[in-house]
Amino acid sequence: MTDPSPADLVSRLVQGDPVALEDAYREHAARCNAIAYRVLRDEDRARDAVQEAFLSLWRHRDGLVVRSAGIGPWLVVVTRNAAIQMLRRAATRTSREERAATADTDPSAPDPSDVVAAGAESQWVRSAIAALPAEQRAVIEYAYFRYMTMSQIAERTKTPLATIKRRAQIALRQLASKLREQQT
Amino acid sequence: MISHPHEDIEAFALGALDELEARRVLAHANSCPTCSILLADAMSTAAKLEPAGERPLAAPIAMGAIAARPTAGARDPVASFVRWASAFGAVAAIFALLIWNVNLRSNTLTVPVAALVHSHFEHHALHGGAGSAKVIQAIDGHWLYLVADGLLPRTAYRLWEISAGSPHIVGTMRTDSSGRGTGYWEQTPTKLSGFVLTPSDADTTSPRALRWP
Repeated sequence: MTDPSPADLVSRLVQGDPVALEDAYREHAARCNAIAYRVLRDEDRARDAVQEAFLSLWRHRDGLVVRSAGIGPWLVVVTRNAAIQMLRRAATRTSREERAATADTDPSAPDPSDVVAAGAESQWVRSAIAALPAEQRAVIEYAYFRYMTMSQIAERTKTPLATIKRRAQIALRQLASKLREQQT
Repeated sequence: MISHPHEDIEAFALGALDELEARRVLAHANSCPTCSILLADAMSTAAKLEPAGERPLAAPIAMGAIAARPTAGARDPVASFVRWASAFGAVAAIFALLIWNVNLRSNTLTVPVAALVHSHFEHHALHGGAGSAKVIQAIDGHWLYLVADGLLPRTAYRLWEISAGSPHIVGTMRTDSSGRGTGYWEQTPTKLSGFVLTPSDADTTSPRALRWP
């Protein structure tokens, strides 16, 4: 089998080529599964999240986002979102949620920035997150590493929802800028 | 009039929207050039927060079965409505751009959404100066779409393209009160080596310029 270029893969997906979906699966499924498993800690549900992400890729193949973002980032985010939605839908709390809840209330729990740092892999991601102002770092931590919605963060921090969304916006753009600087 | 969910773009990428909100954002961005680029940027950054690593699936999923399923448009009335509403909004936006006297190099104006949906494109991030900007360029080079944010409010900006080592003005756009602006131009395909965005009173060497590469 030839290794298709990302642009070629997108192009074939847009044209509705089912083999392109299989190629995308071969290339990205294992990474997607690792991401879903990290959120759900359950093999079967992780597989369901991966399936949902690829179904979503197929459904949205002719939209602009897949072409703009590229299949890799698109699948990472959509898989993760699918897994988080499953987590939220679950009637019983997973052990991971319980750990997060404990961390919220336990005064001996690590600082949110430490949790963030542990979750992000590379040093330059860690330093970029650590360099964010505290209130922006907190939004990233609550949203990305504790799976809270913007509304939940607003409620938890007693901050207007619009302010929380703005902080998330600025934080992610600053991260993008810092990560770009680090890479060049 | 369709409103852009700019404030929810990053929240989507962070997984911090509920299911319905997330669906609305994705459906809108799928047919809105501006939001698709903003969402692509946010997704790219959020994806970098994820640790690398793979975990093979114990039982592979049959992709053939997925590809055989009906498409979202037939199953998701919210997505379908937002897509049509977004397309309508985009058409309205183009007329607004015309009324606001955005400079167009070509006399023939095609709705960008249609151009984007039916052609392949690449996008370039412009850096430097204040704010951020992206140029979406048709692979065959016959149109350019500019989306910018964080620029000086209510200010005219020029987009320059670099070809054969020299800058040439593509066109001018004006930012709104929050420093955002978009522009769309058609042109004869040219081999380009870069783009520069400057306030209209500055040239391409200005420290206020944003550049790619």
